[in-house]
Amino acid sequence: MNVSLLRKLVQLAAFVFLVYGSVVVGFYSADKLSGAFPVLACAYDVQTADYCTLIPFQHQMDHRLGAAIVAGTSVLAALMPTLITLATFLVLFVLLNKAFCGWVCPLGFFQEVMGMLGQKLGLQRAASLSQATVRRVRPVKWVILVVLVFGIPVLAGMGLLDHSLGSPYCSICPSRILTTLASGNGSQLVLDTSSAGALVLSLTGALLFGLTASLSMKMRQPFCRVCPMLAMHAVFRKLGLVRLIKNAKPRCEKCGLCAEACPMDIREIHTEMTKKDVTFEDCTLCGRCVEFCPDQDVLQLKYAFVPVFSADPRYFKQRKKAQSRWEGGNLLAWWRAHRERV
Amino acid sequence: MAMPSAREKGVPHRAGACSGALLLALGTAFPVHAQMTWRSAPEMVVHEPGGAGGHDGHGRRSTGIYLRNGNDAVVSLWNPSLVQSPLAPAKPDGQVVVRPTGVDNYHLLVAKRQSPAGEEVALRYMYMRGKPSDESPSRLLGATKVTLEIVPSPLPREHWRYQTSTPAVFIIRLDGKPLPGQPVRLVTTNGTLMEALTDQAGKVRFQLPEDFSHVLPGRESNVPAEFIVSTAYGHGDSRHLTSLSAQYHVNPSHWESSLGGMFALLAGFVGGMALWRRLPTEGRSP
Repeated sequence: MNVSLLRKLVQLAAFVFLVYGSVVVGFYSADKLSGAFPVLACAYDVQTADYCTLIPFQHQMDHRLGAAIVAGTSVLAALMPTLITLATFLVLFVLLNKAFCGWVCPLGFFQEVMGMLGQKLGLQRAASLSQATVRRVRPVKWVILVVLVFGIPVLAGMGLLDHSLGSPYCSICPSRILTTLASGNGSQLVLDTSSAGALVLSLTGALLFGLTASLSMKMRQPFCRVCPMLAMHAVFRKLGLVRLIKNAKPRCEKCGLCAEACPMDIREIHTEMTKKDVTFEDCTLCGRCVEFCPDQDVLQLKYAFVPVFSADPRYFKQRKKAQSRWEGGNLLAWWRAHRERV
Repeated sequence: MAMPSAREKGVPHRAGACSGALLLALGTAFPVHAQMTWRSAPEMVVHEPGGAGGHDGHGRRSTGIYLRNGNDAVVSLWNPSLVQSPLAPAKPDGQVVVRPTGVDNYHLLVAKRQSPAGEEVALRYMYMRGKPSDESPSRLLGATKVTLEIVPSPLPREHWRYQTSTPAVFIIRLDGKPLPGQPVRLVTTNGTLMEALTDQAGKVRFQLPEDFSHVLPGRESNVPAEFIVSTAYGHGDSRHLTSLSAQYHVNPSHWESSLGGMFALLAGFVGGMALWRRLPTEGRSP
């Protein structure tokens, strides 16, 4: 079994647990694991085992901070729940760092499944995005985090915007639609016509989910690149116990397989020659770059300074073969072969 | 769950048109249907998770709630850790002041009135904010608080609440044990009456009626109504009558379009396919 397969199994188990886990942990909010989980698990899915930290952040900005600013009461007191939520998030986040994205997130898994579906249907996988495109896209996640998760909810809480804009990120989050549909609940896939703001947000949410689903069939992790949770992770990535470590060698300059294997198109993994810690802001710690690194121990996943998975030439060869086998079979190729036989 | 008859299935009819024949005749001194019930004050709506909006302190301030026909009733509040505290009796206008307990999550208001004819109880679950109680509402729901009890299954929670055209399920328990075949009645403040029998597990299910006469677009624009579930039980000299009230809301399907949502999703999918051609195809791809 290779690491990618192991990761898929972990993702599947995490998906099932996070989407349907209320049968284990309980139905009520107080029953959930943390209420500040570091992946896009959704509170709108009533069967969820936990929900993401972005939901309480938006509520706290709307109901607490915005209201406190208007009332002229202590902002620090209003921020206390946010600090508690952040502390809860960090306790979990430290354990797996950004690997929550690559190994646990239901929406990340969904995009990978759509990618596998596209591959098996015979769609040619797009190559890495250009460096210019990647650079243009990178700031979007920060804008979404600052504006939709914190900014607009505060303004709504202050009464400067409509109250229906109190949790704008949730309104457009593809995971809200994904996880509710997965649990048999279609109530979140709607157009809300109650106000212009609600209509724009619900329309954006449904469009974004459709866009994410189809783009995932051709390119890797389209939504992850603009996900505000990735930005949250990036802020605190130096605290996490899991790290991607590079022991650069001169051969690295001519290779670049690591960057091509990276689903987030992080070329810096290839070009960085001095820093040891290459857990860059967009990294999801999926480990794919380590799998496709042909040089012994050049790339490593470490947990608390202990290597748990290191680049290995023998593993690399086996992994390449497995990848070729996987990519060899698809519906389109089978259909063409069938027609030729007929 | 037992299959109810046509009327039991929850075909709603207007209150007053029903004879109440499903309920047991318990004698002339004891009411057949619930008279003592909790109601939120019209001008001060009890805030529940996911309830109608507005910034009222979210359960941190004293809450005014009304006990209808609650003369001589003893009122108490159960907190999530099952600690029961006495409350001041209802004022002449029925108002009961509930001060915050300092802990969050569901609390249970209990009004109890004992008479020679039997025991009458009114229940109301209230969500209060405060320090985390570290208690699941399941603990409060699971505990035996009164002899004849109506237990929501489940209580509303964030992003899930009672709303029209959706089921509301309750378990009827006698001394903590499910009561099968028990007649149960649900009336709404909008004038609907429904009746049904509990199944073998003591569960009864009502489809909350679509009985709001004026619906405005938007969750915040519609004031919630209330339903009252009641049931009566008599055995020998022991007679019990219990009610449970809660808010329910207009179903958002009035201003939300599922078809529109599906079309938007489809449009997004097709839009993504249109972008396929613009994606780079050159280069190695391990």
